[in-house]
Amino acid sequence: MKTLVIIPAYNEEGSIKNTIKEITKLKNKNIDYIVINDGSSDNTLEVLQENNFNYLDLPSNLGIGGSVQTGYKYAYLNDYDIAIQFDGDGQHNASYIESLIKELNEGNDMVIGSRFVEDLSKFKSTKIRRMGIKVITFFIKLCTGNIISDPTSGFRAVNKEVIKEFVNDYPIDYPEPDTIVRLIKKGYKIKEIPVEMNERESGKSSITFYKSIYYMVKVVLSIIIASLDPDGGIK
Amino acid sequence: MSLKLQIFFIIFSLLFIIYVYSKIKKKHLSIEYSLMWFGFAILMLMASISPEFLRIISDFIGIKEVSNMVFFFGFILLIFMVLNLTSLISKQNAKISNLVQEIAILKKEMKDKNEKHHQ
Repeated sequence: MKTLVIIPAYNEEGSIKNTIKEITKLKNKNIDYIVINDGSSDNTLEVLQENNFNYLDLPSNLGIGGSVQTGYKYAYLNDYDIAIQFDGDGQHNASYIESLIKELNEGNDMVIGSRFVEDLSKFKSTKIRRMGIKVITFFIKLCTGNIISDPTSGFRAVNKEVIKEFVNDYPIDYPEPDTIVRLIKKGYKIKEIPVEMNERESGKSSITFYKSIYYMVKVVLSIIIASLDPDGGIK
Repeated sequence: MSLKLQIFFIIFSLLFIIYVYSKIKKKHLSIEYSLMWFGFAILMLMASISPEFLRIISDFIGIKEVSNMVFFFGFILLIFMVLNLTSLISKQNAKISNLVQEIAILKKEMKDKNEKHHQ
């Protein structure tokens, strides 16, 4: 199974090298990676060029949704069977990549690396953010009946059919909960497995404190819209 | 309405029509939007030539003051236009991000080809 690890990077000059090292350390010749440089204003692009990493360079900043979707498009064009989202900031742990792939091979369409399925992760982010995640979990349960304990996790693997779905339509910002709801409504099978996550090595989270209220309102609205019209979205 | 005011409104609407026309001529407005603005301008001209026309409509709907009706419908029209503009922006955003993505993928393909060529 040809697998592509998609690494979105926005101003990650300090951590991108380590992230890639983690993945190449797996020494699995079926696993390729691609970094999506989302119009970084720091030296991320220079780091990618100097080390001859495999990367796509977006000419302007699209935000997390747009840059991840670029990775899915690349995966689709190059005929990958599996695509895995993996943050460029060192939060995710590459040793779980193979467990995600294993679960896909057992017949799941999307596998999410979750901090909350079991108590593996020492780092579970702040109290406020955990509360926000619970609210999102509640709304997803309300709209789909499924329990997704870590709906904002950016560490997830999908198979070829879902790659195709994402090529056709992917939300612009805060895409994770939205896409989960759309996939469930379309009848795809989603599974969560427990993973450990680390605190960010450097850089800032894409969600600052001031944006969190706005974020919650937007995510809840997007969940409701996604559950009413899973095929919708601006084409 | 005094004759003076009426003449002012007629001149104003005529100037507005000329302005819209010049925009279309310079291709600063696509046909889709120019129709809307032309309709708007002609409505303005009609209303200033014959204010009675507005009176009849407001009597018919049951709005006492003609000016209230003009403000009310003007407001509704503006809200509608702003909504359409934000929707247009969203559509264009989707198109732009599609282009940005394609460019990034093409840049990579070119780079890969060049590297193969030099080896």
